[in-house]
Amino acid sequence: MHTLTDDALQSLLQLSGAAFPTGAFSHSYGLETFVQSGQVHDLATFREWLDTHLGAAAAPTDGAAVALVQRAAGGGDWAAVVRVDLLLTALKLAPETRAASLATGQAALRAAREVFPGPALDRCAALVAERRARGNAATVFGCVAADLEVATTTAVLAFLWGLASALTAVATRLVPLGGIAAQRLLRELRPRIRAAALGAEARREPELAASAIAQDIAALRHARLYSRLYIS
Amino acid sequence: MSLPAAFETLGPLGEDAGKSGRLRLHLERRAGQTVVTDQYWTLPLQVMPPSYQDGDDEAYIYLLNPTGGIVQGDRLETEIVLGPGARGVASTPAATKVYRMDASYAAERSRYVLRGGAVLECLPDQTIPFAGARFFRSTRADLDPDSTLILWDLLAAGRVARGERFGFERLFVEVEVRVGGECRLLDRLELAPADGPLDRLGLWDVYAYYGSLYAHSPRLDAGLAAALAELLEGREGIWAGAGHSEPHLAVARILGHTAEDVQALLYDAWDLLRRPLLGKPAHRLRKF
Repeated sequence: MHTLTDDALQSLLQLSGAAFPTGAFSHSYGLETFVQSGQVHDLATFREWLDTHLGAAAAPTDGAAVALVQRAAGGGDWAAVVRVDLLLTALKLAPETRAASLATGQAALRAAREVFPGPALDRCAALVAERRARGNAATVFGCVAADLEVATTTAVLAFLWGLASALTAVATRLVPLGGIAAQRLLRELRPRIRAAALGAEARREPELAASAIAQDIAALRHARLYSRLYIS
Repeated sequence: MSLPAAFETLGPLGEDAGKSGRLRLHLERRAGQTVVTDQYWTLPLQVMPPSYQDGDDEAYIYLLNPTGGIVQGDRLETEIVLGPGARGVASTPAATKVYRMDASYAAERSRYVLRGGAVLECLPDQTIPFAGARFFRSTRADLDPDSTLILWDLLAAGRVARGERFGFERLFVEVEVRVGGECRLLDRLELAPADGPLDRLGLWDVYAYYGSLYAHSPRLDAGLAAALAELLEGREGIWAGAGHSEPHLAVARILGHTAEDVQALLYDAWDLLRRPLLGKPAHRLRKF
């Protein structure tokens, strides 16, 4: 059992925070489509959307990949890191979703190499530079987590919590939601985020799956929305 | 062979239950016609002699399961190889029913290999998972960069006309498209109602039928992908979209209230792609 050191806690807070320059806060992952179609229009409908996004889309793909990459990088199995990164890319069906993962991943890689230098991150950067890996956001996060030597559950939880927090900020502006109500929602979703993280951590490569069909359709349709505030 | 743990824990599929069906088919272009040069099958898989419904070189192949559906313990393996220039449509005579299972599960693996400028249009009828069904389906297409694939799939939430939706226990459905040996797309759905209701916002919403379409061709460009997206997004009573995440590859997802709605849109999408990619219109597939 790992104990979360003060140092690791501070590092994960920084890495998942709004100020860390990954561009994650410019992406809605199709939420904007649902807001424009009226399907997400208040706190209750956003809650349902976010719960589905975490449980059926993000956790079984990105969340699982954070865990697989962290374990593989920590154990020096770089072939597995590359395999998971390519698998993750192939699983992202909508062009904007795929591009979002790669753009935020590469921005995170650039920033993290300056801020959290470490051997796993260096190796990750080399694999991306050699074009062996694509450098998805979850891959980069998993490598930083390997360097920080945090527990895998903690790493996955931090990743998914960061995503939930970013999407809540996006919804606050788009839906719109009151700031306090949005933060209360995030607080209430803690058990769901934790359950999603535990489920993600248990997945092996054959079990990575993206099953939120209607959300994928929204992500596909986002490219053709008449006016857009978000990149995806 | 990769298998999700949820199926692995049900134990290996052995000889004591269900049937082991294998089907292997080789299509080659000979003297301006696509012909079957090699075939092998064991029940419950079977293939009918090819027909030529377009009056040209393209062979129509019907894959059938004379036992009427998939039962627990079934392990079905299909391989269709098309040589350079061969063109084929693969379809089924009727819907595939996946029956209730109480101890084990069923697995179906299909592999399509397209060499050179081969064309495969894989257009099966809908799959209907009955209450209690546990089903693993893996489809993989290995394409040469010059080849053309149009593949659709239509999945029902259950026996919808009887009011049965999401009564199945677990479905895992994957479609992998590899081009020149590289995985370009892996569409994997894991549907297990026990893990949380599927008729939620963002999953199946209020819909009961799910259609997907995958297309690859050296002639498939951004303009054609955009036309496909426009067709899908414009249909009333349907939630659908299409995208173009890799060069020459398009993917579409469709949710609808009835099988007819989704099937009609899949036909329209097939027609939209077939005209520029194959130079001929789509038509209703003959059923037997």
